Amino acid sequence: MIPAPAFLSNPERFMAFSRWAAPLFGAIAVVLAIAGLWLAFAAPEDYQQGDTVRIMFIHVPAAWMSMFVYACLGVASFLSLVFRHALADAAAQAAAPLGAAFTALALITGSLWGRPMWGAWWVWDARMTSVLVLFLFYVAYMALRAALDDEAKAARAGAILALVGVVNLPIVKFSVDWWNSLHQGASVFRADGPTVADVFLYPLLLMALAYMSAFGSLWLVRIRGEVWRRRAEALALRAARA
Amino acid sequence: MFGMLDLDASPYGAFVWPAFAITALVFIGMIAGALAHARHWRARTEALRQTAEAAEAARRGGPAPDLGKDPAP
Repeated sequence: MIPAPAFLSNPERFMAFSRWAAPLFGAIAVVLAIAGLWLAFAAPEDYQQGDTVRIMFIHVPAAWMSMFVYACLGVASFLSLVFRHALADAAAQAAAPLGAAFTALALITGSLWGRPMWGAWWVWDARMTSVLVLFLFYVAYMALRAALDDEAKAARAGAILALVGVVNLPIVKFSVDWWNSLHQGASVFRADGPTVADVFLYPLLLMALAYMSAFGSLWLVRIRGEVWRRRAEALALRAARA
Repeated sequence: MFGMLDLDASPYGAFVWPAFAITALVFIGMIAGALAHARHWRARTEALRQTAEAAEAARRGGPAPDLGKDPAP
């Protein structure tokens, strides 16, 4: 078993851990976001894009998070499906609305960046289309979970759907290499190092870490909510049987 | 490397500021949603637990035990 899920597979241990970890991650996110936003607005205008380059500091981290959260959803779904971890299922269920929010944010801020730079709010570009499909996977996952009353069936069906959607992640990542796209290729995570100037790279990385910490905090809070919900439903069921 | 803050986004202010405003709103929504979800179900769990404990105490003929409050969600 992977150490982290084994450590957290006990709900009591998870609740004890998340009680202090969630506010800690939240505080780290606030500090990183303040520093990142300060540097984002202290950076010079881009010589081609002018001030619209500042949208990059909120758009790119949202796009990264949309994929990262789906990867978390996929791993949690795998653990739920294979090892029947109730907490892994709660983690998957808790990740979906956050991932959908980050993906919607990536699409909306991308649209607001695309209009002045490309002259269009939306084009059926490979990257944008695959991110829209990612958003639809999140929505479908949540709709499927909501549609089934039986918690075990909902968990299994949701996990299968989530794992099918994992196929879309490399398509999102490599869409700019496989097809003609208005989006540029990778410019940060490259084998030969980032090609972005430091004045833009540092605030971008700070904002990405802020988004990551915020997700960590909110994910823990939502998992705690799921644990409470399942306890409440178990208690209600026990009361109904008594 | 970094000078003063440049908050003049013209001529692109109509795109830059809504992008930041929508980001702020989405984050506020995520935070409010997560906290409301956790608090609602924690309160519901505690209420059900107290009801169950009171019913159990009544069945045994004794007073309901003081369950106390669980820490924050």
